[in-house]
Amino acid sequence: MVTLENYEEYIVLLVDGELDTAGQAELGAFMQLHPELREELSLYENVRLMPDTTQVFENKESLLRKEPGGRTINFTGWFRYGAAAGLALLIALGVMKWTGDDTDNNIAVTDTVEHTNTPIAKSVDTAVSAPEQEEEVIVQEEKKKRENKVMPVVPAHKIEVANVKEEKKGKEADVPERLEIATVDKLPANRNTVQYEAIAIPVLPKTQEPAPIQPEREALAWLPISEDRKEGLNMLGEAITAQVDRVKEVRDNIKNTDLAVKLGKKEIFTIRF
Amino acid sequence: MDVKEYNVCVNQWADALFRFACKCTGHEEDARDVVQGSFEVLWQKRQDVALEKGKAFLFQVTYRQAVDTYRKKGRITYAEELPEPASSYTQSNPDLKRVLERALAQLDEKARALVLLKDYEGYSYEEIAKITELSDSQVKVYLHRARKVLKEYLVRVENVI
Repeated sequence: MVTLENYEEYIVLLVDGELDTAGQAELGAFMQLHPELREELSLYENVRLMPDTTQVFENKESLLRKEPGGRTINFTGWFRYGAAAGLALLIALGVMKWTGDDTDNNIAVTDTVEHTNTPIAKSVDTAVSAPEQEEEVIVQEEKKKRENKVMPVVPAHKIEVANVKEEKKGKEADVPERLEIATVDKLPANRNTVQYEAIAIPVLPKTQEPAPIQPEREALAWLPISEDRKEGLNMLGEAITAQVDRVKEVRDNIKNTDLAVKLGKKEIFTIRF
Repeated sequence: MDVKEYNVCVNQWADALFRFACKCTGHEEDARDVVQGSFEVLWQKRQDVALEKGKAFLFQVTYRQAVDTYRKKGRITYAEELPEPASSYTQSNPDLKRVLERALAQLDEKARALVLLKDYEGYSYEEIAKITELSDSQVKVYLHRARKVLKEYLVRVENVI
């Protein structure tokens, strides 16, 4: 019930929109009984504040957030360690492959020499059932070619053909420089043949002088190691010498070069080597 | 609440929060810091706040931070630090608006915040109670006292004029 003690409370509730319809009716009846309080009601209605809508938060964009650019995969628990281990394994395999390739390249130089010579001797032994005299000639031919540092892959029957010609024509006959291609079809039918690839080989004239022996080879001559090893060492030495020459060449190029630093068209400084 | 909804909250409520914080702290720079801090809190807790609850959440955080800031700095020159009202002010009497601004400065920080939430944002007593973590009856009492102070200030000024 609205009284002179609590009417202000009713007025505030009315101004704030919190007075229900029954309360509004009671307050209306009370105000009709006390018209001198209407001015007070008007004052309460005036103490309502209005926002200043021109006052705004400047640079509102600084508060905005952007959508994430891509999908993020969240690694949790043991999956995280598994992913890390997998990555480490990939890196390790990559490093091993890289270093392994490098080593193979180095070995391949010496291996080629051995592999090209060995099958020839074997093929002579197994495929050709010739007289002992012929075999001796073949071995001598092999030795001569090694001394000349020419190491072609020669099929056994081709060597044999060459030897037969030598027997017929004698030692004074010069062999012309030509390419001969040996094929399996030319082999005699009664021979137990081993198939080889048809390889083009230069048949050198016998009068050709052996290649001059390099100083490195002379230095290695006294070593108590096999010829194959000496050749391997020799080739290794040649490879090192070639690399040293390349480094020297780069160094000489650098010596003859100036390094100029420019900003636009203006030269800042120049380094002379 | 996702990023898009968060940005909707920024565009809809940043200005209102700034005006509310300005009146609560009495200083625009402090108000900017308070609003930025409130949106930072909303961003961190966006997973727990639905879009329709965003406004109430923001006003709750802003209310707390503004009251704390005001208490720490103990400002008493609130009315003098505020800028002059703009010419486009919608209240019928610009003088009345200025008087009310000064009258608002007479209130303590809690009563001032309650009046602003009621008049600026039109929140009900129940909603104000949730935002300010007061009881409904406390809100009613605080607002009754605040309105009475404002009315008496207005009467006093009118008598002087």
